[in-house]
Amino acid sequence: MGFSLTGTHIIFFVASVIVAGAVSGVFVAVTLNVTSSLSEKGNRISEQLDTEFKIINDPNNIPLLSGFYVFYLKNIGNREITTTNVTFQIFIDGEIISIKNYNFSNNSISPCEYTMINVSESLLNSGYHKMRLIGPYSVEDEFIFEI
Amino acid sequence: MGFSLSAAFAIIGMSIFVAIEIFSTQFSPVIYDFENSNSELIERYIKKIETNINISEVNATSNLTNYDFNITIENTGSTVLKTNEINVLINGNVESFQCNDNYIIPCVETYLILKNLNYSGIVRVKIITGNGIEEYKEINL
Repeated sequence: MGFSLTGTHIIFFVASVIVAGAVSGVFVAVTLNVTSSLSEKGNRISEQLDTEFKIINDPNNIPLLSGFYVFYLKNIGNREITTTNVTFQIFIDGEIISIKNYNFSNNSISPCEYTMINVSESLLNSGYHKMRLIGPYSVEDEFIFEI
Repeated sequence: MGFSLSAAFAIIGMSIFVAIEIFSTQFSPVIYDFENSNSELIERYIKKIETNINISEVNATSNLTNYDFNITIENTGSTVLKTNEINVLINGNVESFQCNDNYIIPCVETYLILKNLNYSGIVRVKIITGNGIEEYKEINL
């Protein structure tokens, strides 16, 4: 009887340690996941706040070079922007432009620098158009111009 | 029973401490970065409001075949502008320029010199500052 009481205590002790360990493990793992997700979200928001760009063309004079209309994109934010046709999507008059029909002169631009977006001439007829440029972190700019 | 409960609380208490430590050490730099980005964003917007330029004069001098442009711009805002962050568009094309000043302080004029450009008729000049504030002027050659 004395042994069984001690045995019961040992079983209770081991069981409580196992349960407490499991609860602790789950708690720490959840905390790690939540912290990691919050950190990523926080970093994305910080990067979004730092990112800003603007199309600086003269809306009445869009240069045409070798079959491409040239749009100047200036980085007016605080962070380098990766400028590729994967990081940027272009809508003209509400329609998304295929990535085959535009390209950038540089792969990245530092703050206050500009790059050229070359848009295929075949996409733009004469008249007024509205370009919507969506960049990294969904930062966007709109530009109304005349061809 | 009492000892088992104490041990369990000790383990859970330890895990809470570890979790708080993980949260505070990993998350505090993110909060710092966010605060930093937010204050920079506010600063950018304030600078935009404070930035203004005026193209006082555009002089085009013929050098027999082409034109040399002398653009006088005045900082009519209340913030200092860096000339190396300025872009000049002539009839929609970005053109390189020379400027003797690195900065344009408020209420002061500076000269942007563009050499040997081939334009004629109505020429539209556009100046864009580093933070995207723009100004136009047209001249007839």
